[in-house]
Amino acid sequence: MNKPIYVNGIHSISPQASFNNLFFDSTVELIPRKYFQIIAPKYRDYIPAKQLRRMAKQMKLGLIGAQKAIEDANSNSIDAIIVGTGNGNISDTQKFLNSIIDNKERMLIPTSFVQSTNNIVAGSIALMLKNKQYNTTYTHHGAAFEISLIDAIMLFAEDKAKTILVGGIDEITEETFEHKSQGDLWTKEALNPFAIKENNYIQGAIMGESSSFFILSSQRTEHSYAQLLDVKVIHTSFESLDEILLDFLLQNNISRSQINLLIAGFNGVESYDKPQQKFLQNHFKNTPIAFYKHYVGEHPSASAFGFWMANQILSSKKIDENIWYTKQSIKLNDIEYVLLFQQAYLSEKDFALILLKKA
Amino acid sequence: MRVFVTGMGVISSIGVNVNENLKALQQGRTGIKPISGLSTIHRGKWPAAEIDLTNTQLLNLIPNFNQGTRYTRGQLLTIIAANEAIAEAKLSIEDQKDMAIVGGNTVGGIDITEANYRDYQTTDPYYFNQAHPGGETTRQLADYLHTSAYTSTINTACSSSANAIILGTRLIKNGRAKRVLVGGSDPLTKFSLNGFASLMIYDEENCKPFDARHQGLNLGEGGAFLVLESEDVLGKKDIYAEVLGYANRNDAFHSSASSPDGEGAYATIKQALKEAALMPEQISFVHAHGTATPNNDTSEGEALKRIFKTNIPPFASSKSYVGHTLGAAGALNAIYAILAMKYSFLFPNLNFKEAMDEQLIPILKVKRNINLSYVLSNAFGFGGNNTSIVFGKVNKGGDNE
Repeated sequence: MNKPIYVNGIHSISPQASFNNLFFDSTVELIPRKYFQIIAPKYRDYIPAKQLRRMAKQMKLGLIGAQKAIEDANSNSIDAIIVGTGNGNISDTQKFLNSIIDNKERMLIPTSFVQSTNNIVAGSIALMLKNKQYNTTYTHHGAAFEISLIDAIMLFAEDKAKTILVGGIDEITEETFEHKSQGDLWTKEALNPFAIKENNYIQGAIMGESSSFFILSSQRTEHSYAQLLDVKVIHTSFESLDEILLDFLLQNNISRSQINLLIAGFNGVESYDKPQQKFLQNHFKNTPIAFYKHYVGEHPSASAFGFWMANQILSSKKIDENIWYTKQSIKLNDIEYVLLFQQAYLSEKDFALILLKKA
Repeated sequence: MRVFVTGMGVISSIGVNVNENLKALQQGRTGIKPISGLSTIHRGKWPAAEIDLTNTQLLNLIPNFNQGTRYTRGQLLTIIAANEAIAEAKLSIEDQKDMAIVGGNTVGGIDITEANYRDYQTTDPYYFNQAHPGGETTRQLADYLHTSAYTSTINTACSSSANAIILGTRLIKNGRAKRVLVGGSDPLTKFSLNGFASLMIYDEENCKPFDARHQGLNLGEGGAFLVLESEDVLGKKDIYAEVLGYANRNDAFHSSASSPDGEGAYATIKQALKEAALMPEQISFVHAHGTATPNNDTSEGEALKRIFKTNIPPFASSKSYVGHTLGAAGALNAIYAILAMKYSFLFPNLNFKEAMDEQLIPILKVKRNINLSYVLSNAFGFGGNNTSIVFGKVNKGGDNE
């Protein structure tokens, strides 16, 4: 059995008003989108102007997310920093690739090369916090965030940490949209993301970005959002998934009927959503299903935003009616166990399960 | 729960399998020469440690490749090294099915991205969407092997595959896996070549780790994988080594440089020795990260002096053979250190003439019939990501020497 782990601090920078953890209190923007972009925070309020100039967006988001999550949890020491990112710092990668071509491999400026490495966010957070502890970065398509959580769970079990900062981050650029949307994987025109409901599929997913950071702790506080029970990632097919799901719940002494809420990563693409819907409805006949990619768009670490949303729900904040995939009436206070179900888009054999409990 | 290395596989500029790599180390033969394969303006001039095989030739080394015509060079290097490690560990199809996989790499499919960057409209969308990010390299491996278990990818820059070894060990110790395939790969790319050149740390001659004349690194390419197994499932299998201790610590000094006093490296090595319950004097060989950049060699050298005081064990860097293989480097270092232990030899640190520090003289000649009980392998990366691992020699059945 894993040791009890609590989520004591949460923060998300997303295309919605999540910055002050107020997303569910404010109006959600119901506008058609070609792709989602984050609502940029006032970077200058958090990062010295001298450092800001050279910093890529992903680094700014990571540094602010870390500060805000730590502030939210009121933590004064961090024993490990773990970041999950499917795509890494694409803006600096693109900048360096463009300069190689434009300058014909001559007179290149190293900043964007150094910052292009996927571990730049975790490394920069360590530098900012002067934190010389465990530090790592996972990049595995849509399972990168969940893999980061598993590492944290193991560090707690090994008695190597009491407080851990875990984040999930992915960014979008106009160039990425241009490069990736050549096939039929992504929508090319602006769509209303809230149209994604049962039997209302879209042609190609809506691309997006977000950055969410969390403080996990071995200590429960009055402020704890939820208890993290377990996480599983697996490279498999739907045929084997039945047994895997049942084993996962069994190992955590939970029956399917105890799950009060499912949070899924549907993105509106029929070939991707349908098998997931079938699977979930097969196992959980009357359990309400919420989803989140219509708020932030499809990107590998979107599930970190889903995790942020689950923590908000479990700490009984308000909810936005648009979270429901199928219309439900459920009292927030009755929600005890939440299961997040993630299938990686474009790497569809990679599945992840996150089990959360009311703190 | 004890964790053992039961299989290893390598492809690098000095050989397409473990045996060829072993021979080159024992002969002190480098794989570094003027660039001939990569399309770059530095071709024919700057040195690098390339594997002299085209992608089509690499593909011929893979039986039953099932991914059609979609692949990157990193994926091919990964599968070749992983196949050898699995064969060496004599894993059955059933064993492989629930084997976890942890891969490490730094450039993912950037070789294809950079070659088609302005022609994205006519490029198969697979490459810009799925193949570019590093996770795909490991995903392809899991698909190729038909595994159905935990699969992940680490990118902590140049320490990626060393961290893969640590994570694999921890998955077993935490009861999340019985067997884990761990390692990493990276191809030589224009992206990384020009990146290190822009930092003014690319040596236009062969690199000289720990030498006073060191100017910087040479890049290489490769794949390196190990099979880790729990003592529970070991049976009477041949064992290469036991994973005894490990540590991951951040230097928190600079995004692309190590602290001059080697603080991060020192803390990492110290913790790895503590985990292994060993005293510094018990270490009989150090496979240094030794990139041959003045910054790394000074920082790592200071850390070695702080840990081992005046008794620094024999040490060498294989970067003078295979260049800096980035995502493969940590696993490659580990495999070479384990080979030294298994075959009781020390390989020389090539191109060393002039000491940068009288206390830091690496191994200069091949030494044979030398018993090595415990070896330390280092891998340090951008972002301050430092990693050290201690391996121990094991007799059949699991007894330490």
